[in-house]
Amino acid sequence: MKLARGNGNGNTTGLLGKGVEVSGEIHFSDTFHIEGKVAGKLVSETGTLVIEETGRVEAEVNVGVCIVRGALEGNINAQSRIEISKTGRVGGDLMTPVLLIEEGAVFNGSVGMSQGASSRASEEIRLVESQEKTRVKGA
Amino acid sequence: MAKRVEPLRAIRKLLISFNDLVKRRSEGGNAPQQAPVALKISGYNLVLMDNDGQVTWTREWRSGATFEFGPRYSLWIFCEYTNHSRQKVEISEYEIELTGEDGMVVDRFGTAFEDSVVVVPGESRVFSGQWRM
Repeated sequence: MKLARGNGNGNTTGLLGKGVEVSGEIHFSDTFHIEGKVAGKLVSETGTLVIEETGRVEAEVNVGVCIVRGALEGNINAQSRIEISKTGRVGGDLMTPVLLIEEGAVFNGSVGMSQGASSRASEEIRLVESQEKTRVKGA
Repeated sequence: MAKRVEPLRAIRKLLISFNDLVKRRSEGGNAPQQAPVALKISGYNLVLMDNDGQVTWTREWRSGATFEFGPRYSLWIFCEYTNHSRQKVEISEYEIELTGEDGMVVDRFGTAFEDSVVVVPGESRVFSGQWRM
């Protein structure tokens, strides 16, 4: 099944449309939009994953940038950034150096920077996150 | 947490602010300044300072393409520092700077420690900042 096409800039944009369901492991290189349902694993070393408002994902996500406008159940490991918009709902742990959350977003989970961070550092982050989690949930 | 303002630190901040202002003026001409609705962020810097307010370490990261940070958003940034030297490093203050598409600093978050943080060789430490518009 072909899920991607070029956008004229040398980059490849993938789209999993509304009404489409996929189970398994998906690898992509540039940008991948999900409007349908995905269960399994989403992998891209530096690419951008966009879960659109209609998108429903139950997966482990390991990407460069992850933008969530729909629903995601699973852990996200993003090398560069995670964004959760006001329509986004995330249940899972986040590993990222940059986290952007819009008011109205729902996030249940913890946030860490990287698996390589020292235990002392992780403890500090957990404290910060626990304070912010309440605020995010109530937004 | 009491924040000590030392002369060197204050002068450094003043110089950075002045430098940013001069750059903005020279690039923006005489156009009227308006409060930005959203900041375009392309990267961020971690700046570590010692007891004298001297910059001891700095590093720049890209944020994975430019993104907009506007009203109703909360932003968290986590920067990791690892002491790769053979000596312990004392950190009394740090700043995380948000940089725009042109590489200029558009906003910064800073924290001063009451007691210096000591990072021994090989140890890593995460410094975090958070913003809300």
